[in-house]
Amino acid sequence: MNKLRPETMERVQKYSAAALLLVFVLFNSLFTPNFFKLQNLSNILTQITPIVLCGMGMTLVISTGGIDISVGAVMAVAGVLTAKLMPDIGVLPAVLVAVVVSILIGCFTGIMVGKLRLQAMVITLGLMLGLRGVAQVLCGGRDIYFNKLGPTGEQLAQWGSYKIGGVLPVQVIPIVLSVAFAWVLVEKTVLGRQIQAVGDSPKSSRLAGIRTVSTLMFVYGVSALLAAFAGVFQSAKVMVAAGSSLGQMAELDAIAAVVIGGTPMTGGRAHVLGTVVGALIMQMITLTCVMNNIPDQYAQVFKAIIIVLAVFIQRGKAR
Amino acid sequence: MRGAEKMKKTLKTVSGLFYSKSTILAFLLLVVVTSIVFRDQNFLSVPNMMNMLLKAAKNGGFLALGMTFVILCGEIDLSVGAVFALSGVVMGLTGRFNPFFGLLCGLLVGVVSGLMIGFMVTKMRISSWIASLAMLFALRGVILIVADKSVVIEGSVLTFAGAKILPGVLPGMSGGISILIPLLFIVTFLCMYLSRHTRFGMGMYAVGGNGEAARMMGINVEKIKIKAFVASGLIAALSGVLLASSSGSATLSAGNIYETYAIAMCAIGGVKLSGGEGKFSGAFFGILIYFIINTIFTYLPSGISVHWQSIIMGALVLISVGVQSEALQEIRLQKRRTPHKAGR
Repeated sequence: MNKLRPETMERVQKYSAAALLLVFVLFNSLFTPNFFKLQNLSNILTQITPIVLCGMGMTLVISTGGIDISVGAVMAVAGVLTAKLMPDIGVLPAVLVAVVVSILIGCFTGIMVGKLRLQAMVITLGLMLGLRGVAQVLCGGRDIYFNKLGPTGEQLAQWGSYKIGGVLPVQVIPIVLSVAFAWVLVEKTVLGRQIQAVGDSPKSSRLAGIRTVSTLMFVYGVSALLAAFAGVFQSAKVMVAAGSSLGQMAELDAIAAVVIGGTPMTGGRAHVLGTVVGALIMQMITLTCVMNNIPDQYAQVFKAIIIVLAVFIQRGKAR
Repeated sequence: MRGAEKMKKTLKTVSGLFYSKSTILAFLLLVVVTSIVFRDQNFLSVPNMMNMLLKAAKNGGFLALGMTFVILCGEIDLSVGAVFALSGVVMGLTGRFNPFFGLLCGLLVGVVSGLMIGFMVTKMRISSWIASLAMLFALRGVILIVADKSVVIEGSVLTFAGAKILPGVLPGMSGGISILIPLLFIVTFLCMYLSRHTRFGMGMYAVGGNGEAARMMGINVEKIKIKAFVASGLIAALSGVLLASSSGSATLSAGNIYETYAIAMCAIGGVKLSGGEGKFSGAFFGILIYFIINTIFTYLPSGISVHWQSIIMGALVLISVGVQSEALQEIRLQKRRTPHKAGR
């Protein structure tokens, strides 16, 4: 592969994820019946929500050279907390409380990583175990079903099933907002530059006058915030808040989406739109298999191969 | 004057011990406190201890030892839980033709998966996070492809791990102790020997400490990483084979999210997750601490949710890495050094 001109190589890498997505869309439009049905497209949007939301936060975190494997557990805590508080204080205040709690958790991670210079992976691993336990203790070992919560339960269920104008699923709002927020942050603001600088070299960015601790607090706070919303929307969609299963493996899906999108694990760069493409590819693989009656177990193997290949093609950027 | 000097020296040694042996100290503290608080439950009795060790050997204690190899090299292996499950299933399926062939195939699962991850990490230069994550997805899929329900393990060869040894030697264990317990110790000692007395073991610390420097010193970084992944896979497969063999069936969902627990045990055991620092003995004490807490929860009244266990484990991980934090150690060093050297 070294014989290729470097520019060609670069171009291949830059557009490989998008090209892969295009291949999937083409394949599906040719071979999958009903692919372009509205129902199907809106299903994609609703199913992709947690990956995109967590993926946006994860993109920022990974671009600082860290990792946040607690997002799945944060999703569970936020979902369960909302469901738990909802009947007493109403939907919006409950969501607000869940989000604030999550932000505090994120800031805690940021302080531990920034101030005590502990590895992000260990801190978030501890949080992942601990918060999963908190979520399970909160719901008392039983799943909270929304249809048993009365009017507030139905109100929150709307967050998962409402269609704007009868067509667009309501999940479009968090997706668009989070992507726009992350894109503007990374591409257009000083803070975005600083985040990537911290990922490149924490020491030199500190010497250059960047307040690394507050930058990291912000980044992990945003990651937890988005994870909290992902948890609320996900539980609203399935109409149940389950401490044990809500957001399980969400962190791994998000990491995969980020890496397929071309953000290197070593930090220093953030490709926000790449992550969106990565999340779409992950969803496309599942969808292609489901709609063509390929059993789920084969889909899993297929997914693994695609992830490895996508990352392999882009690894030049990661070095 | 001399006395004061001596006193200072002792203090320094004690504080040094506190930092380097924090895992063992935590372990001892836990044992003492538990045996006092739960003195009615005969916590320190031999059957109870053996029961705890057996639980550790069956439920993924081995995985933490395997994980230590990979973490020492500065990498991570998320696939161990899936290897754990697949090896038992493969052993059961292939063991129908010939039991020894079955055992071999079970262990081969780990070797092959380790080789594949090693290849992806070193030759394709994919981050081990992604490579082993992909392996996790793929192997969980393969498990469901090769078997549709849990596989029965039969025959005297395949159920070898159900055997018990030393009947009547230990008090209260007239039936003997399970063969899994000595195996856990043997594997631990083997790992300790490998890490201290072989080129491979020394190489792991060099690679994990500073990969670039290790390369310049002429260490074959790629070979060592591949070996570490194979070791991790092999131990995970061994563990899965032992569990299936001792329980008489291989469950498809076995070892689900055990990789998380394995990493937590390593972290509690003082294995530094960025690589290059840590000991297998530490990981072993991490395993013990984990399963002591696990045992304590069987003593508690049923009103207390078992999910508190998860919270406590999370807190333990945070505390154990907090104690080992570089920033805290730096503060400690700064106090010792002269002021003008203290800055960083």
